[in-house]
Amino acid sequence: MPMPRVHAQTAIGLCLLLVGSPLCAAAAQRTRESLATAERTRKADTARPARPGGLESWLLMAFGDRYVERALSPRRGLFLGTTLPGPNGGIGIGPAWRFSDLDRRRVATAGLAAASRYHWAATALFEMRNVLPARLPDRVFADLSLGFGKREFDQFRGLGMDSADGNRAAFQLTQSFARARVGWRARPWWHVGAELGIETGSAARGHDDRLPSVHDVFTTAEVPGLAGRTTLTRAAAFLDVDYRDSTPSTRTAPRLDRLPVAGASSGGRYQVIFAAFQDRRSNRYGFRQLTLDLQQHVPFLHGHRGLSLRALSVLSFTSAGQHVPFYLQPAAGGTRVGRGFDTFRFRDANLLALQAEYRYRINPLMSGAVFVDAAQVAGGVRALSWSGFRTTYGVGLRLGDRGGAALRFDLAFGANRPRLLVGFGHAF
Amino acid sequence: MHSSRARCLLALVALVALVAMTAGSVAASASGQSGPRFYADDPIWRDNDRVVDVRRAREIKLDDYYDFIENSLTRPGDRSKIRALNVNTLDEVPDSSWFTNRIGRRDMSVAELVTGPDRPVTFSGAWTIVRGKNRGFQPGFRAVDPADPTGTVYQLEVDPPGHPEMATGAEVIGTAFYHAFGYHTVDVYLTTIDPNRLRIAPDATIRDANGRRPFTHGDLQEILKNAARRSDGRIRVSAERFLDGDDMGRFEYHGTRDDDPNDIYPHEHRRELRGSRVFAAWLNHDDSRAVNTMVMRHRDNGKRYLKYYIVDFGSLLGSATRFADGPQSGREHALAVKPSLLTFLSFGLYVRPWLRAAPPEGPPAVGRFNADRFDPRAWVAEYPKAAYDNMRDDDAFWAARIVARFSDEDIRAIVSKARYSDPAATDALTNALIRRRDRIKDTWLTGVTPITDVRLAPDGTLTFDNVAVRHGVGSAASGYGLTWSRFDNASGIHAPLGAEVISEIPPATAPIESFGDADYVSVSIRVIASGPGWRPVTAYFRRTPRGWQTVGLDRELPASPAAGAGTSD
Repeated sequence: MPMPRVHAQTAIGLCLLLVGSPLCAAAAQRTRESLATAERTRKADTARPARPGGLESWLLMAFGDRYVERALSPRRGLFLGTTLPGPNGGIGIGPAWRFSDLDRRRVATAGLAAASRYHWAATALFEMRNVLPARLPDRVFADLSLGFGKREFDQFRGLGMDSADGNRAAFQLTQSFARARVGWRARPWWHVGAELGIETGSAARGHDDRLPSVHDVFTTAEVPGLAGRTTLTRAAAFLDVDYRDSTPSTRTAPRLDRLPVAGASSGGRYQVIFAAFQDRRSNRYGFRQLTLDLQQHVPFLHGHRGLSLRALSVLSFTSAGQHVPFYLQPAAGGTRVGRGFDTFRFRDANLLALQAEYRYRINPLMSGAVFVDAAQVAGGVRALSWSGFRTTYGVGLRLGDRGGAALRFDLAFGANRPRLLVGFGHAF
Repeated sequence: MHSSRARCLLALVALVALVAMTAGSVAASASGQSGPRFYADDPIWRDNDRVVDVRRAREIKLDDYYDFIENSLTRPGDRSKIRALNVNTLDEVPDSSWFTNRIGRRDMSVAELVTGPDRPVTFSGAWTIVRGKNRGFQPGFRAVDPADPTGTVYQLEVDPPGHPEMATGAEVIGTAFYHAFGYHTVDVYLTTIDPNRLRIAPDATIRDANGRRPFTHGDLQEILKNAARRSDGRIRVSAERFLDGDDMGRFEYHGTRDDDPNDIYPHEHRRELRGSRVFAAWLNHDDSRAVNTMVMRHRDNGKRYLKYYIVDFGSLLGSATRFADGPQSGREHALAVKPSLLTFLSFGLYVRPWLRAAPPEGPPAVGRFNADRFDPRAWVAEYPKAAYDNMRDDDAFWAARIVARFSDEDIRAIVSKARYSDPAATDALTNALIRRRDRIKDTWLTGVTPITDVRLAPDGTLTFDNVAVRHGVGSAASGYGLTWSRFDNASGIHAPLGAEVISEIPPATAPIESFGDADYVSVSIRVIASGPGWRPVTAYFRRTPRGWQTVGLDRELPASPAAGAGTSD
């Protein structure tokens, strides 16, 4: 019997009235799966490709797309050079250009760097690594390098530990060199070799209008190498024993990481370099130089604490009437040796430095340090003495993976005033 | 007249029905339900998360640093410790694009466990390098076997020189375990390469700071220099097959993918991700994080769907891939603020407890891995994850039951898959894993009321399993209190059928004569045991033509849970 029209109208009205109520929805979705499917269908209407947020986009670009590496250390092209003017010389930043083959065996780099208006450097460097034919044993290596540099110095105060702060003067140094190096890697952790090269240097008047030029403060008798240009041949032999436990172990393989490696917590590095310089131009600057750099890392608490020790000596030997040009003399003061003193604060023909650093791991990305640096310079080897050391000390914070120091902050005391030092890598 | 009476009658019926349904609706709302407690397809064992065609998905490029920063310094995701959202009404995880129940639901033979996701492949020993490896910590490259007609690409990775067999061993062991747990993993094989039989394809490339460039002999030497070599000069590698499909990037342990309509459960509320903290603790997978996941888009009957994988187990057990794990591994997050500050301000005089008692490294192929001082509740990954932080006792219980199903023989067989040349390495890992498994059983099988597999036979015989008792952990039950109810599926109301009955051990007998015509009945099971503050579990049964089907299990968290897991419901 067909439903009367009024019955149908009422039923439709009732149904309409119930639409939207939970029961009606529940009645329409009778299975667990249909509920989930409805939710998924709803989401499909608004689904859109995910996009990273601001910070993540920046990090992806900087590190994922390697823009940071491209900006700081590309294989070729223009980049932001962080030229290190020299040992303890601080950091200069400026444009640089590099050309390299795919394996980075032949690399040419040129750069300008400026730390301030008065503190600048220009460098050009061409290196050829592993120039020997591939059929020769891997253990034999040979490198060639050519370099040119020009730099404004504003930190010269004379020679010796008694040099006065008030004598601070500026000069401009021009240097060039050509070197060939051959060596034999007896084991992955030690190699020995020889080097032959020629280098030139000349100190010109400084252009820093805040300071007098070094030529106006000192005489050529007081500062060897101040006048004229030197051309020296350099013949050297070296031994490098490196069994620190950086990442990966240097005992078994060369380091893979191109960026700063983690800090060593055990092992040691012992370098000996003996170099003989002969003056090709004036026969006034012939000398021999022995560099001993001894480092030992003593770990405890599984390497989370450690004592790092270093003894560094640069000893110069000259015949009568011969001198070491002042710009080839070692210096104390700066970010690595003699922290606490101004950069290149003490300079002379001989250097002796003792450093001790207690390092403690704060977490995998940060570590702290307490350090003591003692250093002295002297004109003669015999003038070096235990009482001649000037000591600085301080505390530090390092940012880097597993005890490494990609970025280092040291607060040093013991000189005229506390100094905050910022550097890349450990002091040693 | 007739018509008028009928109209009035119908209107009255409609009004009554409306009032009744509205009242029912209110009652349902009051009981927290927007529908019946159980649907016809409950309990579901397959979450059909391939139902919607995934058209708009794009590869998500996840930045490792950002993932670390986000999870270490902020608290992404929903941190409310609600019950996992993707479990079925039996409190179990259905199969899905994320997970396939394996050893947790069925017996697996030793051979099946060891095989894992692997296929029957053989390698000729010659390899042609087709691409450099630009991601990840472990040195390696992508290559094809010239004898393989399918041209399948594999990613080959080496061991560090100081720890031969360590990373590659961890890789195959981890893959086998995670596959057995139920995760989607990628097949990975151990093989050795002869450097003299490596060729570089003319079009092989690698990416450096200047972009993509040809892969050179120098690049290869750089990798091989950092590889552990055997005495015969060959190099052991792990070869991971490249999956077919479109790479959609990684997944995070919180949120959902905006471009996957089928991904509707926030990842921090997925049980298999919460519970994976237990697996990670067992295997010391402290590197478990978004970067070691993979999402691929596949096709099924012409429909596109995303499948979620966990991959890259080189940093598992005692391995940190290129060196052995440090003492911190599994003990503390990378950025733990308080101990870091204490260490910094005290100039290192403050020494973390785990550093004072750090175990020594084991054999070189093992690294630092043992069971000494292993506390499953205290174990942490390298940095926090919402899913791990949200893990509750019931999530951990689910995972611990899976861990408990691995016998000593299973564990030894899987470890042996790594083919360590030093038997001491196999023994050390096996013994440590067995002890850690037992520690997990002690800890997590007793975290909630350990009743599972509740069944009601047609004749009224009630059976269930006390997992803790079966595994010999926790307090032995002196009896079980059973309270039966008729259950109204629409309203969610229980109508008790008498007082609690004490049964010494299962099986027990149900009062089926009082069930009447009830479609649903429930039984509340109270474990009578000293010690843990367990709450009763409630099992639900639906009448079917073949008898009673178990359709639900409510497992409440204990009144005073132990530290380290969720508390609120």
